[in-house]
Amino acid sequence: MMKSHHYIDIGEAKKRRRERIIIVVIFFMIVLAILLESYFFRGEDLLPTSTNVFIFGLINVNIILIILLIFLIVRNVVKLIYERRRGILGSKLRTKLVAAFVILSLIPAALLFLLATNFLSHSIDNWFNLKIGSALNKTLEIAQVYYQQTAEHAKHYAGQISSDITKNRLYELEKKGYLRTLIEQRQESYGLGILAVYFDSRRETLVVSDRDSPGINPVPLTPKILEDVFVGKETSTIQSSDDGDLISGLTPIYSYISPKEVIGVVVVSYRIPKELVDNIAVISKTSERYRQLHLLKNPVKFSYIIILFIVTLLIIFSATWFGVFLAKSITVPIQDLAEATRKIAQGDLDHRINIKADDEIGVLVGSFNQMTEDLKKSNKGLKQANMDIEERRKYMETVLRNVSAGIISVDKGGVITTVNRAAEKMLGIKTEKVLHRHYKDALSPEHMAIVNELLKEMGRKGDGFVEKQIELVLKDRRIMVLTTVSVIKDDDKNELGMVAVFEDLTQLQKVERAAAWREVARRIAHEIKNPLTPVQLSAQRLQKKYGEKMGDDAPVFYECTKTIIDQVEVLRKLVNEFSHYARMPVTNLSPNDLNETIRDSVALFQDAHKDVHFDLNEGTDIPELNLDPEQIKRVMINLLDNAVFAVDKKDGRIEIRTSYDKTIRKAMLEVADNGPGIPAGYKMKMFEPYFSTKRTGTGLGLAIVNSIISDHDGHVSVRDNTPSGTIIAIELPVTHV
Amino acid sequence: MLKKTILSIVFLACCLLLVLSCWYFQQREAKIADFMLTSSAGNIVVYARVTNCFTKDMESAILAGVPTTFTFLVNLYQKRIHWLDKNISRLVISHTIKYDSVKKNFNFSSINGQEKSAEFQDFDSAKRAMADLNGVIVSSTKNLKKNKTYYISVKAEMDKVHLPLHMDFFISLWDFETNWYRQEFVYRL
Repeated sequence: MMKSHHYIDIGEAKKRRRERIIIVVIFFMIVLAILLESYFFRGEDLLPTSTNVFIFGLINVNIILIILLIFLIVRNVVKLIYERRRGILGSKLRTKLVAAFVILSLIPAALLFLLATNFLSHSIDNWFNLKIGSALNKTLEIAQVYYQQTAEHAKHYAGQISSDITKNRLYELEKKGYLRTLIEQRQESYGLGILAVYFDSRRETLVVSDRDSPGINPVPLTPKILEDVFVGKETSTIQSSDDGDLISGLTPIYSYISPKEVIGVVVVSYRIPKELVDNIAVISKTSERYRQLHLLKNPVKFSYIIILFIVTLLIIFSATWFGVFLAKSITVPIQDLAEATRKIAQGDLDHRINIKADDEIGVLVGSFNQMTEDLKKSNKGLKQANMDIEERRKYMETVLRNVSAGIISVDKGGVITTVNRAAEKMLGIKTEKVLHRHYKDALSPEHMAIVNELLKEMGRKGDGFVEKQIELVLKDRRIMVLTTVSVIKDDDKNELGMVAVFEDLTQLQKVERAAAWREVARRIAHEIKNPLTPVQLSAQRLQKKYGEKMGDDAPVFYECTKTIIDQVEVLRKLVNEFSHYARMPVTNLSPNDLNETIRDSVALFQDAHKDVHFDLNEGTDIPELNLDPEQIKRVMINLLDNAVFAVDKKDGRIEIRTSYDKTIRKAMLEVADNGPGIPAGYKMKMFEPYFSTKRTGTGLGLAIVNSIISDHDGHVSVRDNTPSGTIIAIELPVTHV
Repeated sequence: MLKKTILSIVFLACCLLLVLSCWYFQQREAKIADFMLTSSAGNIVVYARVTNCFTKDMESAILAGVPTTFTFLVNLYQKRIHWLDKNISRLVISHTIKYDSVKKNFNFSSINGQEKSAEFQDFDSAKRAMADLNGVIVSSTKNLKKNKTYYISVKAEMDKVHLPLHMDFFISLWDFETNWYRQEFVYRL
């Protein structure tokens, strides 16, 4: 069963409704105008001119309305063609439907029009065929001949009687009786109707009535008739009455003496019975009507063809309009669906199709809207999940960033996917330079050899895990790291890549070594210091007691004992240093200004070494630090002493910089020189006791520096200066901010 | 250049055709002619004739028995300067012709207050009777004032011909209507 389509499109609903209303109103107005015209044309009453104007107005209105209807339909068709050219969705289907409707209506309507026109033309021609017309004309001619012959007969007999009257001079008054006898005889013998004789001289008329209709009077002699007769003309008249027609023949009577003188009139009349007159009238009317119709043959044909043409046009236009309407009802929802799909694809999940329909398209639209709703919900869930994942990712990143161990991960293809901050710092790499690159491209050959070694070991073990202490030589330092490499697997045991964790053992080793060295120093000091005093005292005693007794060998003796005493002294100093190193004073931390603390030490060195250029750059925003000023001064003396030793005496330049890094909340103290620098291999051992590049150094300066800075919870490091030299950098934590 | 010349010739030909057409249709247009105004026996009498009032179609229709009526409107006005013209007399005269195909005569009737009829054997006489206004009394001279200006306006029109099958509209070309013919005069007698 076909359901009626009822669409409500918010966008174009009003417009389309208005168009529909206009078309329907126009249609009804045309029908109304036609009815009105028909009514007025059928009216039997004579219409005044104003009514004619009204009718013409109606016809014009009708034409205007038809033109308007054509305009509306043509407009729709043109719009359709335009839309098709622009490639608007649905226009092709709409064109097909409209074309189908037009063709389906045009072919039968045109055929019907042609057939009807031919049929009508043929029928009308048949109505006016020659046989009917000829028969009617002949019948009319018979009637005409009958009347004509009757009139001729009347004139003929009137002429004979007139001749008899003239010949026998019956117009004379004394022959009145003979005249009456003659006309009565002639009426009887010729079978005439009314017979009347009129003499101009007598002013009286002799009348012999019709024997069959005695009540009928002869035709009155009008002045025109008398005028005609008295000029010598034979004439005839037809007089109609309720009893029928009276056909009279009038002939002049001439004088015997003067044959050209008209002295009277003979009137012979025949009565045509009413029945015959009526029959002839019917023939006449029919003939007249036929002739009138024949006259209207072409206009009738033309009018019917026009009506047929208008009806055909109306059928075609109605079909076109219906095609447009039906096509719109199908394509508009499709267009809306396509538009909605486009919008949803662009991300507008709030878009809904606003069409209400009670058919399959309605179901489709409902399903589409439901799908959009579901999509919106799932999208919302997806967004939430993404947000959760993003939050987790950020959290993981934060954790990774703040983990002290360096972490580097690579995916299954060997591309580096993660480098955390600790790894950056520890290995001295920049994430943006290595991220998303293959590790083989990012690593140097030496490091690649280490990685290959690790991977080989992992392959040997076969458990996807390897842990190893590695000494890495970086650009400006050497570090000891505990490297753990693990294969990452998902829940399904699929390999996702590998993660390498680096733990910097350098500092730990330093501390352990320092502690060991202190222990060694303490024991050595303890073991060596005790015998030194007796050795020195014994040497002094030998000198005092036997110095003067040695005679010639006294100088040698003195020299030897003095050497022993001096060397013991040297040994004591050495032991004191060891002792001092082993028993570092307790650090008393208190809030102090770093710049102020180091300023005196720098000034002291500036005075002592005029040939070296000292440059102190004090940071401005360094908060007070928890530090022991005496210890820090000792650090500065050690560092500056090393720096002065390193630089060239001619253009030596030492720069002391202080600064504060707010993000890590650490104060920085750097001592940079432009000396020859330190080879990378020494950097690891620089802060260990007994490591010195100076001939006279004890090798404990930087070990003490390291120890003091460790007591301050700080960190000391060494790196190369540019273009040459060394930078010793100290980081001190800031706790009071 | 040639194109311009051709265009000019075509334009002139069109103009000439238009003028000739107008002239032709004007010649063919029905109008009041042979107008004569006179006083006779204390009456104002009018004589006039309608020319070009019979077309071939009309003649065919009359011979086919279609009754045809001409209506003459004759108005007599007194001319006034500062006021609407005063109507003195208004006449509506109908001339009707009907052909009797049996008797082969034309029955002519004229209605001007009272009906007068006549029969004609020939069509030309009948047409003349239809087209002529012959001594129509418009008004008595008693209704006129001396030295006043009057005018008579005459117009003729053909009444709607009623045809079978309601075909009146399609052959409405039979209709005619003349312009008002106006004749001014000053009454001095």
